[in-house]
Amino acid sequence: MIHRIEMPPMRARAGKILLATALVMVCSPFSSAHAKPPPKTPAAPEKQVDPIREEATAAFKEGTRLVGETKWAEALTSFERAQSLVPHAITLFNVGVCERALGRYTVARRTFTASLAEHESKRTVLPQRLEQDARAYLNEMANLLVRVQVTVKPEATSLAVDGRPLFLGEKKGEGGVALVIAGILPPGKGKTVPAATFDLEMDFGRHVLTFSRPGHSDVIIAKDFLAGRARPLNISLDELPATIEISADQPGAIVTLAGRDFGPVPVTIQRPAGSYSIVVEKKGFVTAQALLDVRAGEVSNYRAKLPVEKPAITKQWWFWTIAAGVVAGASVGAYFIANPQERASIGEGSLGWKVELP
Amino acid sequence: MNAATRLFLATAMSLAVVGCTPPPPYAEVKIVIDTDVDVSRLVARLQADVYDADEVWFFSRQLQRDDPRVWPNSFVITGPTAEDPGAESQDLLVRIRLYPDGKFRDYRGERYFPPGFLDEEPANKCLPLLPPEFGDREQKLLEQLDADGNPLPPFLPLNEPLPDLTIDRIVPVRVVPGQQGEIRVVLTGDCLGKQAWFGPSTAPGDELVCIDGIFTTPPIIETLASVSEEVPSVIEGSFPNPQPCTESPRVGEIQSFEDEVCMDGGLFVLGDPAVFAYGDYDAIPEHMTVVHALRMDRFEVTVGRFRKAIAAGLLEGVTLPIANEGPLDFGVLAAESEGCTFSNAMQGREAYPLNCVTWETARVYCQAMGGDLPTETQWEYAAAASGRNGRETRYAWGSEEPTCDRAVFARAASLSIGAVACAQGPGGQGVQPLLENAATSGDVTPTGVVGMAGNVREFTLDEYRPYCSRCWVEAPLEQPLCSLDASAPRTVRGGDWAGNEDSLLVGLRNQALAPNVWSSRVGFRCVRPGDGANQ
Repeated sequence: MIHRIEMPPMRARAGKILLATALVMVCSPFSSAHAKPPPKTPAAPEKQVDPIREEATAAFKEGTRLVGETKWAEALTSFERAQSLVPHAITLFNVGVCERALGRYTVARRTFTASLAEHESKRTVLPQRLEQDARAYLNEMANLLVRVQVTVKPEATSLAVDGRPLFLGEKKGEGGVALVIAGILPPGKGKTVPAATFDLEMDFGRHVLTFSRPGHSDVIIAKDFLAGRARPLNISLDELPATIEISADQPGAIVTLAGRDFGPVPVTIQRPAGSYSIVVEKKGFVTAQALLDVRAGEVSNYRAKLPVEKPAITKQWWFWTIAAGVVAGASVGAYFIANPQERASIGEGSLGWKVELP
Repeated sequence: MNAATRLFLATAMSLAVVGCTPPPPYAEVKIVIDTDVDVSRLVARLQADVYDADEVWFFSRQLQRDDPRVWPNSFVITGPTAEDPGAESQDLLVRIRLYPDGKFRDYRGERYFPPGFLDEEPANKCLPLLPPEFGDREQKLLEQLDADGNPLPPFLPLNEPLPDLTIDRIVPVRVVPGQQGEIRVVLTGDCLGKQAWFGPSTAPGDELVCIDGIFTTPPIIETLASVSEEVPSVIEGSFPNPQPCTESPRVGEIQSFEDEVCMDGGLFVLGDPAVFAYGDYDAIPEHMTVVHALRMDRFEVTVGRFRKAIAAGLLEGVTLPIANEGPLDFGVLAAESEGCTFSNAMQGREAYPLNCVTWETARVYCQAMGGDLPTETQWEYAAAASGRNGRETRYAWGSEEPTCDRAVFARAASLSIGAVACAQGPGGQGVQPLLENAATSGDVTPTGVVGMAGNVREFTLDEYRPYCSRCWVEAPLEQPLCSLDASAPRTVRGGDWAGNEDSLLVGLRNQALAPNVWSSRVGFRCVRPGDGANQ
């Protein structure tokens, strides 16, 4: 038996969007002609013109014209301008239609809800047809959203979706967890998530989720989300180690960090944040020591200066001891030349690594 | 006689006496490391970690050793002489690992653990999993105190090789004061991907094949003359057994698209950590695999080839692909079947790759041709590694970014169907015929396999399961296959005419189809053994 591959109903969805976007209200609800009775005499030099209302009307009409050209983004700008000048339920409705046509369902739902609230407040009203359409859109778009339960560790992690912070919804998500909505707030840095586990609501489609927290490595998820409830996301941010870069002015100097041998400089060591003692030493040079405080996620540099060890001073009391050693060594050396006996050793191996027991 | 003179004479006399006998030897254990893998191709970074008997780490070094002439390698552990006061034997654990350069992660101290705890089907991504024992040793480290009695921060190596790609051996060593010895460790390819354990275990199911036995005193060397000289390795490169292609690939007529490409086998890293967050299943964790020599169809199976098999009576009883008796139409309003290339009556699409075919039918076809569908490993090996001397690339043709004239992708009519960036170029929307469109010939691997990146996605033999699922974790090193359930969805690999450039990544695992489901975006190609083995 053959089944057709199930693809997301993208084509049908696109068709509905195009059909529905023709429902923008084309007459300005707040033009001065509607707001005030027309002047009764042709000569009216004292005619009172409300420039704000005029500008709102012009913006509304421009938005309507742009809708006719299916320039949704530009139309949205015009309607938003009109709404900012003279708020009205119909303008909000038109804003919602544009947002919906642009696929910004989370924002559009919020706008339609605001339009209906405005209508119900009776401050400004929607015609019955638009009220019904607004409710129908809300129902329809509820099925076009993605809900995904996100669990984040550690807490106080910030999340941005597509470069925008999240809006904390009034409603609760499934199981009473907090609900945050993507796509509503303007672009900006991520905001701290409301809880370790929360519901995230987004438009369907591809999104980039950026989880970040100071001192921790970011987790970035780019994923296509289908409408409906998506598979839960469990996110865990790793604590960034502190990075310690150690170099020296003498090549081959050996680095010891808190008693552990890290080999010749330069070395880069990653460790948890804290305080570390560093020793850099090389035979024939004065050993350098330092105590370094390092913080998570930061890079600390330490460049050791190893001055040449001063030669023995003949005025010192131990000079003669060394001289005795030299003489004795020469004697022993002469002996070994004549009778070769030296400490047996199998060397350092081809890798040159000599491991001394702790 | 002043004080200095007295001291001088005393020292000279004492040294003269002592100098008559050689100083006592230090304890020295030379660890000689050899390997049978070909270090010049892939696995060549050597790491040594040394722990004390309490499993507290105190030494790590690593070095790239990709010149076969420098093998075997050695280093030395030194201890006290027999005459040093308080000198006693000391037990150590020496962990030796060999892995591909760059394949490491932050240190977790993970050791071998029975794989039984893995979820059958992980609910989330293949995130790093920690073994149940994790934490014991770290706790010991946390309990270390400094000279003032304050706790020391945990000291651990910076990083460690990815276990799935590493030969991992742990050798117990006993250092006896004043004694010298040598231990030879052979890092054999059979231990690739098997983690080592820090000692004998009685846990059922532990097959510690890559772990050395209990603490032993290294063989005592009586005289230095008996320390073996490091002669050039005679085993390096003997694993895996050379996998040359020994079969003759099929050569068809130019327009039949029946040619095969024969590829030598070899070691191969399946997966790509850079392919992350593109789909349900990321291409991690990577797996070391051994691929046998294979013959692979140079082209995706075409309508013409399939029709020829029908005419030859090779496909009786199988469900045929969806037949589209009209022209190809990939428009927004078209049904998906209008994008199917097969037709009952010849429609001039014989050079198109066959699509709208089920996995079941594709497999019957390949078996009728004497082969089978490729496994995911074979497919990715052919696309990313074969002919590249151990290197792997992001795309089938190399690492250059995709362009519309190199591969068939982004040719959807609308964003509601797929990517559209290349839909206005030559050939227009949808599936493209082989070789008649320039874009179908730039999509070629070094061995000459065409169209692995774009045009139609391709069925593989494996089920669609995360690489961290038991099915993959327990798959053998050689010729791995994840296939437990005959009805489970099968992975399709490669990109297609409607995908975006990300879909062309060779490591991408983003789609699967049930065995009886078809798509206008999915076709297939077949493989046959290249080393004389039965399929």
